[in-house]
Amino acid sequence: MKMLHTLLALFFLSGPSFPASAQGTLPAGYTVQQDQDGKKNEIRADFNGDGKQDLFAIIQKGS
Amino acid sequence: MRLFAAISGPKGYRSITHGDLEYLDCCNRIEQKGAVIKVYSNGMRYFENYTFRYNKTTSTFDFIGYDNESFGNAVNDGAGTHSINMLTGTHIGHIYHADRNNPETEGQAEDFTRKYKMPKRFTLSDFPAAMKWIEGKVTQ
Repeated sequence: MKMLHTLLALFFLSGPSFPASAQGTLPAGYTVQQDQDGKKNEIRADFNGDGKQDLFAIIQKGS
Repeated sequence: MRLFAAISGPKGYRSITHGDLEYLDCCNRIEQKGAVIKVYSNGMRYFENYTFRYNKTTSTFDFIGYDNESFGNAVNDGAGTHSINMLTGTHIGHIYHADRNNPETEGQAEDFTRKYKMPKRFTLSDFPAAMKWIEGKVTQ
C-alpha cells in the first residue's frame, strides 16, 4: 500500500508536461509534429488569461 | 497537416482546427510572442510565414498576415516577395520578371502595393480557404 502511495505521489509530482484534457482534444489519429531537432511544434501559453495553459500546435496524421 | 489550438474555458478545453491542406506543403516551425503566433513553411524554392493573433472577443485566432519569399521558376521569373495584411487587405509585392516571351518586362523588377476588399476576417478554422484566396492574389 505504501508503495502504491509512493508511486501515486511520484506520478502527480512529475506530472504530465501539459494538461491531459487539452492534449486529449487532438483529432483522432493526429499527433503534434516535431521540428528538425525533435522538439514538438507546439506553443503552450495562457492566451485567454484565465490562468490555464492553452495550446497552439502543428499536428499531423500518424505518430 | 493541420494547425490546431485548444483553448481553456469553464467547460474544459475547446479545440479549433481546420480541414486538411491538400495542396500546401505546410508548416515546419512555430514561434510565439505574446498573443501572436508565427507559423513558418520552408519549401525548396520558397519561404512563407503565416501570422495569427489570439482574439479575446471571439476566443479564436485571427489570421492576420501572410509573408512569402520565393525564387520563382528555373530562370527566376516571378521571384520576389509578397506581404499581405489580412486585416486591411494591403498587399505589398516586389517581383522580378525574367520571361523571355515578354520582352517588355524582361529583366525588370516590379514594386507594387495593392488594396483588396477582404471577403471576410479569416481565422484559424478558415486557414485552407484563406490560403486559396491568397493563392489567387500572389499569382496575379
